[in-house]
Amino acid sequence: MLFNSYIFVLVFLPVVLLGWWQLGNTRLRLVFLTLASYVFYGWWDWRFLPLMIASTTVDYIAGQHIARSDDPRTRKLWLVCSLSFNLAILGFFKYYGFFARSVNAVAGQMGLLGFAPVLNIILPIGISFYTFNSMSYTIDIYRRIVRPARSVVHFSAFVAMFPHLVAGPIVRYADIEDQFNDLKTRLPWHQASVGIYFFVVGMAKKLLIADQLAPQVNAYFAAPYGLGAAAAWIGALGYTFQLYFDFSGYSDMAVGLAHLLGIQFPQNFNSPYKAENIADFWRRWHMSLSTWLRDYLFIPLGGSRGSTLATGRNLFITMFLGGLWHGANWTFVVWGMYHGVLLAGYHILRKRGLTPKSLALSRAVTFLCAVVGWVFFRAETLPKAARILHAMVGGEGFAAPHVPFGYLALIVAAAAISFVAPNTWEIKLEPKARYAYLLALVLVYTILLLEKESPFLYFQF
Amino acid sequence: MATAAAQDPAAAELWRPFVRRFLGLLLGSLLAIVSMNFLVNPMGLYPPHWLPPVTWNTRTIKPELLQQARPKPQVMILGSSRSMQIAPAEVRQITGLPTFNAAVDSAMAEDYYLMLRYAVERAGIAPKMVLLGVDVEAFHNARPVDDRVFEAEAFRELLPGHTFWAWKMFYKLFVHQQTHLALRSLRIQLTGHFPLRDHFDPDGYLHYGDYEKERATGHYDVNAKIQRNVAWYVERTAGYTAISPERQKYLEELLQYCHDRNIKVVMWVTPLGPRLLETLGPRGYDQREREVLAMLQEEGAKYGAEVYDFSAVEKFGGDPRGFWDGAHMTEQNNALVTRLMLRRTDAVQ
Repeated sequence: MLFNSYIFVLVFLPVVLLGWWQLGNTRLRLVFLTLASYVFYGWWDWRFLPLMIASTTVDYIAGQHIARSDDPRTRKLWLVCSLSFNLAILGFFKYYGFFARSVNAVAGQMGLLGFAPVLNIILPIGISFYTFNSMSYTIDIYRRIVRPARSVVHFSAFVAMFPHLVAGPIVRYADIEDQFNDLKTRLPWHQASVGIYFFVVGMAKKLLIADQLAPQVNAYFAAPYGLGAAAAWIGALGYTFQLYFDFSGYSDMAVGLAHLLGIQFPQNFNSPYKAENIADFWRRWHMSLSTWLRDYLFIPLGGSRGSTLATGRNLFITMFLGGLWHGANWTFVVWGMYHGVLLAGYHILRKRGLTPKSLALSRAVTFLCAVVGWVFFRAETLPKAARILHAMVGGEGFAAPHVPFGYLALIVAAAAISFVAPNTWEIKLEPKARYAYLLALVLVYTILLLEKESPFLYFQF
Repeated sequence: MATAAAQDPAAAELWRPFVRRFLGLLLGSLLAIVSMNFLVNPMGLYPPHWLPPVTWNTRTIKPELLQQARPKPQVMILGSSRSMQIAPAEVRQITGLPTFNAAVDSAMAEDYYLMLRYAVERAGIAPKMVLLGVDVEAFHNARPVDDRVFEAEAFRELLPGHTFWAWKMFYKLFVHQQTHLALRSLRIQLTGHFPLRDHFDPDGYLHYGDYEKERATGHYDVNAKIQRNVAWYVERTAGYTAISPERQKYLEELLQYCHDRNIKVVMWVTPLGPRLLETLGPRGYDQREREVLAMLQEEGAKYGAEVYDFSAVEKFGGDPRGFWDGAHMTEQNNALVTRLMLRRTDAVQ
């Protein structure tokens, strides 16, 4: 089920909010939330529900054993068990096809055909997100950062909770634990207002900006050849803003929905296109993933404690794996490595005092680096990405593109919002009537636009 | 997001009217929109029919034209908008049989079958021949049945069991398109001006109002239209990974239906322009095209139907520039297809 669908807005959400706030018993409410979230998930394809339930069960049991034991070997064994299970399902469903195709391509060059069997595996939606949620839980218990969930009901509700289930933010149990243990029995008016605000702003970002950019962006990336530099730049910039407004819109909606359940989620975006350098960009873009990678990958690898070279290597490995997390395709691998190189390069330049002094220049360079990266991220193949980049530097001429004025105007508006305006978290909502009316009218308008099914871009990950 | 006000009970109380105002305007606006859409009923979906529908649903228009067609057609042209300019007059000239173009836009296999059944069972037509323009994507395995099939009473009756239709009828009351059309309908009532751009002849032949006008005045920007269609066709063919068994079944039922009534069937694979083929080809369209052609040949052989592969202009000596928008052929290419097909077919005697 999509947040931006009639079934969600007109039926699912009102029923869930009514049930959640009517039920008095904490346990019953969490069971209700879990079951509702299973319906939300199963609406897409119920056959993958057992997979999520299995992941939940394994991690809950592992968490209990890790917490209960003082024996380092036992604790490690259960941690390995939890991580192996999650990585195995992630590896099979997300990466097996990629692995088989890549192996076959190499084997094919050596004359070996059909070396690895290619299976038509459907990628279960949200698998990357809920496995990361669950893994952080067992790792944090292992590190004695959090206590184990009070019951399987608490843990199931944490994993399945529909606002973050399919595309984040990647929530850690530490973020939720106290809130779950002390559930609000009545939604405070101010929190309802904040929830409404985030949800409506998210809907507006998705439906009024990202979805309006999508047709032209899709058309360009479908057939980018021979259209010239201007078309390439317009296509790349269109996707740059489409992705930001799509994903940050989804994150805002998730935060808003959580608020409507009386729960607070962490921030996921903080005006990333205002970043002053590439490290700053990653502190602002998909923050819940960045911090996950930092805490569970970069720091265990050694972080920035070693030499400059070692730090650069750690950054590169982290971003390489971060790229792979996004998708089983060489384009994501290259995108991750590209950012790894940028981060490592920035680290070295910063150490030597060679970073630009001008803020405007720093921001422009960072934004440019992000745009180039998004070409790899969006293109279906590496040769296609290379052709687009080639076109962007003028390799395919400078013909005037056939682009509707409305699309250009929207890119300019999206750029202005991204570069200048405060983000959803920075705006101070006030209890003024005009804001209430404005939010209501925006929501009404976006509801009118829900007919066309338009999944969020990050659902594919 | 600053929520410090929450700590102060007096300040927190200020948020109560905020939420009430929000909900009041939200629910009030939605109720007003739903009521207007239901009462104005611009697409003819709901019981009140106080105002005429303002939409262009070819699945409603073509059955009406077919009912009125005199003499009753003996050749039926079925297909999608890509076959709407196969001229009935030309077919009649070659075959000597009155002809009707019953193609409907975005037609899938079920549309071909439903239109034929409607013609025979509801409009009292006894065709001797069916000319079926088959689009490769008519057998899409991931596209649902077009809503317009269910919006047309003529078709809905022949396709029972659409579980979610009642739900769709409900949520369509909230849809922007319907609201926009309802407002347009009201404006038309106030001004009396009914702007209908494209139109059909009584024999179902399509005239592109805008395109023809632009072409006549020398302002026809074919590249812009092709670019727009590239996006539309990429979206339309997305997720098309195999021939849908259900849709193949509809074709089989059509062929069986014709076979039982001794109706000659001539099928051809409709072409796309070079730019669209170049774009869609590597995305799986080429493969699907081969599969559809093979399937048509197999089914054709089984039921005695003729099959022609006109999937690209070079296959019938057409003009690569003879497309309105990269997907819909202009009159000359359509005439060429008609002549070639009917000259070759053994049904013209």
